[in-house]
Amino acid sequence: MLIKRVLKNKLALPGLLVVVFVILASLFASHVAPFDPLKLSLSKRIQAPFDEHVFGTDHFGRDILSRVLYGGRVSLMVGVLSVLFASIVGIILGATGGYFGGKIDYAIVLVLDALMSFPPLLLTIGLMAVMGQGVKNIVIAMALSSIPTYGRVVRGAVLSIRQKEYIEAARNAGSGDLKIIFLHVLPNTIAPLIVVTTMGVASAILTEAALSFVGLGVPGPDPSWGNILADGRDYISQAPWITIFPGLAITLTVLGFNLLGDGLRDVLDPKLKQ
Amino acid sequence: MLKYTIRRLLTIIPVLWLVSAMVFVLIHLVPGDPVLVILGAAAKPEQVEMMRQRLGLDQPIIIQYWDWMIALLQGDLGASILSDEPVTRLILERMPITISVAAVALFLSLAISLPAGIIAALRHNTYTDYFFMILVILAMSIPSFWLALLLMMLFSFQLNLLPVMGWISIFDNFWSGIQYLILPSVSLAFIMAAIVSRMTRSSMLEVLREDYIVTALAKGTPKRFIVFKHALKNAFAPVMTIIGFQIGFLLGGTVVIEDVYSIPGVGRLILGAIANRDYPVVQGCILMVTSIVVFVNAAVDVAYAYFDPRVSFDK
Repeated sequence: MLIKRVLKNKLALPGLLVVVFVILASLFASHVAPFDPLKLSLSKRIQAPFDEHVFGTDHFGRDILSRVLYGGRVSLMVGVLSVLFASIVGIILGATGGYFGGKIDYAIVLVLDALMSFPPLLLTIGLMAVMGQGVKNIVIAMALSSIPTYGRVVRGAVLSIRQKEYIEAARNAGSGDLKIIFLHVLPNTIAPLIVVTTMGVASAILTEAALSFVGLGVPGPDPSWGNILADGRDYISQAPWITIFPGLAITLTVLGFNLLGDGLRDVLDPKLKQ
Repeated sequence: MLKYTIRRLLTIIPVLWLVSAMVFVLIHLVPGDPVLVILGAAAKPEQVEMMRQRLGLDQPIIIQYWDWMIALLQGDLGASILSDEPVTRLILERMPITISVAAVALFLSLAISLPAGIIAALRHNTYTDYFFMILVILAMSIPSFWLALLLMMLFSFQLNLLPVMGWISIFDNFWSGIQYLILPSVSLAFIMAAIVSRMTRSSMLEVLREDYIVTALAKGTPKRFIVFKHALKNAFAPVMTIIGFQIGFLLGGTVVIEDVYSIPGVGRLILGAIANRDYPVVQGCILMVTSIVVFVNAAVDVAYAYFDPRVSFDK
């Protein structure tokens, strides 16, 4: 039923198609990529696109198309994992605060507010500065900075559900807090969570790109969309294609997730539809 | 209203305290010995000991925190390891540049997004509206620094219209200053314009459905009058919250944009400090920018209460 509605939605369907396309292309990069993304070839330095190399080559003669395909693996993985961790912590904090209320809630809201005051990109940059480059650290840094997004969404949903009669009924029937939270409260937060996590992946991909671009993200030579852009910087007038293609890949992917998120919001929460 | 304002301003204190504590903890997250990270493994023991004393790292952590906090309350963010200059001065020198880029970007995005959002709402479910929505979602998906690079390719390299990078203050030379401001602020304004115009549209749509608007229309009040006099004021409050919320993203985005265009603002300061492991400067920049965000959001909330008097703490 839900799938049918997603497939009929004018935003969700194109979004889903784009996301599936990007995921498949990155997943099967080793089969689709025409060249080895790491293979240096000085005789093929800075070749223009649409010739032997469809997206051209960079200053080391590496094939940009192959690098973009492989780079998608890292960018998507970092995006999905950071959202996964952030949302797990966010769910725990938001559900605890929203359900129990009182001083616990005040403390949790304070922590979320403080975390949220940091410009997300700045906090991620600061964390990367102390932790050092590396895929694992990016996931941690990005997850930490986006916890408040999920914490607040879950807390808001829990607050509105807590007052409902069936929760009272469950409590009177002798259910413990944990049982109520897991069985009755959390399932009701799933709809808004799906929407924010989908859009969260989009913004995580943008953040990874920005981080790697300023040299604080995925270290080379393994490609990520952000560090290919960083490679292209010094050759921007000579070889603009190094910059153009990974940027297009990011835009397309982020667009896909944004469309999917928007469409899912229409499907899952008809009240919000405008 | 006054009571609300005072209470909202008081909530800043615990948040700012927690923010400062988090920033303090940040430097202690450096894996291993931060002094060795700063000086490199080849450092002599005397050097290590000196640096440790200079950063106060030879003290117990509680004492370190106390000293740091007391200094902070006096506006002292410590000294740069690299240049020995006070961090506060380093930041204050560069802050006007960052703020001017962000402010122009903010102005541009509002100038585009508010009218666009209103028009889309008035033409709800027409092709204008659909086109607008597609444009918005596309604009939200473009990385701003990539857009900055594309604009640079087009306007600086291809058309030779604008300078590639660098900075001239508009207070030194107004017209050159403007030229250096255009590309950075346009690339920053893009995403923000998309988000704000979307919010304006949906907020307007909601207000236009309200009974009092329908009544005013039924009475024959001119639509233009209704839109600007009644609808806009009520629709603006949620839009303002989004704008406040976006200030953080704007200032974060400025860091990368400053890097693209070699603008000597706070963003370049922090990235340079990171490269040199100048942690006091990194700490200071993050703390200063975040404090700005905290104050802006408080101001936005107070302004919200002005636009929507139903807001109170008791709800």
